[in-house]
Amino acid sequence: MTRRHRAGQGALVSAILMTFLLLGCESTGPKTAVGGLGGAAAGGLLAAALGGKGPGIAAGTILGGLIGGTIGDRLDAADREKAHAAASQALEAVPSGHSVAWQNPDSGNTGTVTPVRTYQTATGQYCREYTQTINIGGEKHKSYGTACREPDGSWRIVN
Amino acid sequence: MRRFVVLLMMMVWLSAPVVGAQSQPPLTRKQIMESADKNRDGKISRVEFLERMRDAFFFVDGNKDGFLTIEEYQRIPGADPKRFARADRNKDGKLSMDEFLKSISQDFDAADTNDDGVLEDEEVKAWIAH
Repeated sequence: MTRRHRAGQGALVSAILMTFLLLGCESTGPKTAVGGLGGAAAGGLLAAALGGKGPGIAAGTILGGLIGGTIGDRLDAADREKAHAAASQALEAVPSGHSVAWQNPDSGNTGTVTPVRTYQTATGQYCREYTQTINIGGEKHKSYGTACREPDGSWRIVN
Repeated sequence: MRRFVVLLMMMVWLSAPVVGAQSQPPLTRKQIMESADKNRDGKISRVEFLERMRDAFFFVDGNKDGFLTIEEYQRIPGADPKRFARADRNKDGKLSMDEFLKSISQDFDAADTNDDGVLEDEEVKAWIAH
């Protein structure tokens, strides 16, 4: 075998080894997302979802019955106002799973509103499911509901 | 693979100003990943991931018209206009939530190296490390 042949075989072996090494490295990491938005954007979106809109966002009004029935009858006007403000803030600016709390030192009543799921209707309208807790005189009441965002920025309670 | 290094940087960078405004320490990488693990089983399922992404779509959609324009999308650090164009399947210049979720779902697939439909601890570590 000539020196040239040996050199050629050496280069071929090196190329094969390099190919295996590169394939080995590739298999340990994440795959390529051809049609995805990219890992960087996914991370940015995840952080945006967690951050919500941050504090101090002016939120719209709540339309419909956020608090009804006998529970509503036991709250005074200030309680209801604070509950509506908390709901508005939670629905507009807070990530799912995070709560906005309200309290009225005068009545002693407190509550929280927590969005739990965000979705769009067939017409593209945003809706958010939420849980609400209200503490009246030491009694805790929990309810679930859905609110949908109107074009003017208000949230309408739909159930 | 460099995308995933950038991903980590973006996650930490993006979370800083939000929590900074609340005078709280920045969210850690662990907190960010755990936030998607809704049922606390130590894994991030596709459903959990996409639920978090629906929130993201809502918050990034500045005018709340139900679509992401390229201008809205580019407020996210790491956003790539070419990828936006590919995700825009009907070529109307904006992303519907359906187009968005289909595209971001492929990023989940990329991180799910063992194809079991969930991101486990090791995969999250690899996702973040690369």
